[in-house]
Amino acid sequence: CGFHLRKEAQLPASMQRIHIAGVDPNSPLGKDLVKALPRAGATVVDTVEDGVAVMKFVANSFTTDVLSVSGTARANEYSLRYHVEFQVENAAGTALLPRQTIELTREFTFDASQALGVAAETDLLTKELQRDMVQTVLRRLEAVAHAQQP
Amino acid sequence: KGDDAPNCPVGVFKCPTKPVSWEMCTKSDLLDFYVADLPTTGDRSSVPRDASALKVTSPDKTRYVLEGQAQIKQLDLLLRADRITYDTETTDYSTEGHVRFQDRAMLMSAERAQGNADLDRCTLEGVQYQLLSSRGNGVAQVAVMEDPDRTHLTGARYSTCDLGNQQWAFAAREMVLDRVEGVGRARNVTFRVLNVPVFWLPYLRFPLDDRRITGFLAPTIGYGSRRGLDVTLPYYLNLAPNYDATLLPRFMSQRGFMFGGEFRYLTDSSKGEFNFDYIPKDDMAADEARDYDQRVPDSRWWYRWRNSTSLNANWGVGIDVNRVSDSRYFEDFGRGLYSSAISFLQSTAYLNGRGSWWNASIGGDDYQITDPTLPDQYQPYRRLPRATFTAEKAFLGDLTGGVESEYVAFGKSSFWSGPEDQRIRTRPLEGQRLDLFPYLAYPIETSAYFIRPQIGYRYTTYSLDHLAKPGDPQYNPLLRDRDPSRGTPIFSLDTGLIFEREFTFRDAGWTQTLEPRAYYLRVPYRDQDDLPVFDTQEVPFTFGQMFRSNRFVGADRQMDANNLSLALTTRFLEDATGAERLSASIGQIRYFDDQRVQLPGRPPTDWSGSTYAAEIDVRPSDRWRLVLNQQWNPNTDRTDLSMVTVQNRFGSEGVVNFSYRYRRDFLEQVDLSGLVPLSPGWRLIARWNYALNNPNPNPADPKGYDGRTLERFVGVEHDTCCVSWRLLVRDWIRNIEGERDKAIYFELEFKGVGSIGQKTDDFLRRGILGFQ
Repeated sequence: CGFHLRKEAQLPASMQRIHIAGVDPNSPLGKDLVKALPRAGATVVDTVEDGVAVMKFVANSFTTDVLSVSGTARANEYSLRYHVEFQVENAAGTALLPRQTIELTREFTFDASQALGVAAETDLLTKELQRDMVQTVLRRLEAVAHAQQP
Repeated sequence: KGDDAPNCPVGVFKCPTKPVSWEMCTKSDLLDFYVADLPTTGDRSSVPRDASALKVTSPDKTRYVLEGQAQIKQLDLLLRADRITYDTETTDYSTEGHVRFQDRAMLMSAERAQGNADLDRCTLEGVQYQLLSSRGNGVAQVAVMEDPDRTHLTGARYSTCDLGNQQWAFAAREMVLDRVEGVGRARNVTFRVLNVPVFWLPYLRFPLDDRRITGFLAPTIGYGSRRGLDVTLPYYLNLAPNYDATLLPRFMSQRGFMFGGEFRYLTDSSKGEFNFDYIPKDDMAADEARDYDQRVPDSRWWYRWRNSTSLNANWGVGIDVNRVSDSRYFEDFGRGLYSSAISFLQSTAYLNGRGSWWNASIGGDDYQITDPTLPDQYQPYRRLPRATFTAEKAFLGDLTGGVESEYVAFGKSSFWSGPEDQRIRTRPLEGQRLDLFPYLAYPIETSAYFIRPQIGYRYTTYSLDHLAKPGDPQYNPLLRDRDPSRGTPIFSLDTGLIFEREFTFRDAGWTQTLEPRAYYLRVPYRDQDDLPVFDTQEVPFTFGQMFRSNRFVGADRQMDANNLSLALTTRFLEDATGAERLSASIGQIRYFDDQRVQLPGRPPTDWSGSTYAAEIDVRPSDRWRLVLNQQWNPNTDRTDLSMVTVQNRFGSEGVVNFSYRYRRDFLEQVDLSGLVPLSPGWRLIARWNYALNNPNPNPADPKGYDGRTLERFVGVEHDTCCVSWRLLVRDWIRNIEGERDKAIYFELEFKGVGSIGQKTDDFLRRGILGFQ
């Protein structure tokens, strides 16, 4: 039915050398991007110079909020949100990719009488969201780069 | 960006704050004589002065009279009038008729003006002025241009309204507009609304541009059924570029005077925020203590301190301390449904380290119960200290070795337990736990497939204190060993393929992906009944859980497994924009062995397949989003979870949300909310959150299982050129007894007066997804 194995992604030439800015290189997002970008055909470089695209993260934050409340005014569900905004510019600051907003959420239930594992659960979901975020950022980059090709 | 484009992407919670809008203002008449191409920077005195007119006469040797389009021009300064008289000896000048003044900062029209060119000083009389850097404008009897950055006004008014329709204004005997600091200073000030004096101040500072300055913020005036008249008047203190404070005095007629505040700071290495509220004497505390038969202190408070400090490139400190005076505090002073709904306040402090291949932390967590009906024994264990270390490094090509480890000392205060008449002080079980998971992995990843085999060994060991003895209420015959441990190998193989096909739909190119994924997990059974449960919980099934090596969170239990998780995801991408228009996933775990490891009190299960989990996320355009989430359990033949969320964004800020949430035996509710712009100046905001039933009623709640409205509010917002206000009526469920709280709020903002604009209450953002 027309399906074939996905081909190696081809980022436009202007994005084949990428510098990551606005993220601590030792943070999970920073570390995983360095590992994952080469799979999209990009080389991660440490310095900005001519011909290098800058992937600039302008927002990168986690928030935990009450998502729903029970009939007895107690929090029933929480949501953990990972909000990331980034744009890609060339070395001169001209946009190659307009600002992209990605928000991933995980919802978890809360029962006060069995609340022992909330901290452990939040830690686990945070890790999973970080992993998913890298995949989503990469997919967005590939899709938009693909769309921009003539 | 066109008028119609939504300001916030569909589905996004964290929308940008709506800036102060001057769209409802009309153009200032003074702008008719604005000359656009004058310079706005530079030193005026270094540039020669030009004077010109259609007709120049010289009645004596030193005096010139300029008539007809007469003007004096010097860099950014342009003075025009019907007639200008100029004395070459003294450099004094005077003007008459249609006097129009412009410099880099303001426009003025005046009846008369006179000045001295050498001193660069100009005095205007009968003035109307308009600032060029902001909306600020007004009238003055006399305006003295002392230097290019400072204007001294006498008998003046200042407002951000249209000059012809001043809904409010400051009237002052003396006023100085200081463009260097971006502030206006006035003495002997009367604040007038619709030309009626409302209050008087001996001294006032107000902002002339976007810079933050010290001053009052927009007040909130409310009436609540449990607080009476409730007025908060925030005062912002711009202490330094890197720290500021907001004082939040709050008066509640039924409870008394409360003092709150917020202090924020930012240094090279640290940033943080301290918030508090304090009421020295709550007049209703005694009533409440009687109503609920609970201790409610007279003096009530809450504080929270959040800080993050980076010590160097690798190490940092994170602190979040949260305390409250009593467990009913949020019910009484919280601003609604969500703030009173928290059962435990968590405080944490950690020293965190990270490097290119490792992460480490040491610190602790503690909890305070804020649910008045929860007995002390439900308090989660504090984790103090807790240390974690994880490392992962690739060697020999893609072969990766790593370790995950955690050490925790679990502690808990003693509590009263047992029947009412023979309560005994109980020392809870405490202990230390070390959890280690070294592993080897060999991930192979390409854009078309991935194969990630991993093998590891999980070893968990304890050292327990206060094991209950036979006869104690907490006695558990299985917990005999003071130093129990568990060790088990864990093998997993995670594989996936990514197929693609291209197709054309409605003359546009699309790409569809098909992503099958299989995850095999093998963990041999280990009897874990002799292990305590400190922080471990079995969480409801989710899609993500199919790819985890443990269905429990927390290290006290490691599931046994001989499972294969199968999942299929498909995505539809629009080629022109790269936008993901649809993604859908379905999956299930197939079990080859029984699920023997369970939490205490739960029998093992012998399922051959887990719940089916399906998720669909559709965004047919940039304005619509539909999310469906469904879980069906074949073992009980019942739906465990069903959720529908729809969002529509219209215009630049309109939004309507609908959601239905169902979790079997846990919750079922609907939520409808929206922000509807009715006309350019009016917005309607509303929410209705209704619980269809209450599967777990509280014994103290007289209405038990009944459905009920959790929160509803409706309000209008009106925006005019220089005033905006919001009126909101709210009703929400307040406490575990099912009692309700009702309040009416009025927020009023005189635009350009408040130092940093409105501090919008969180509840609107939380109540209406996509609220701006």
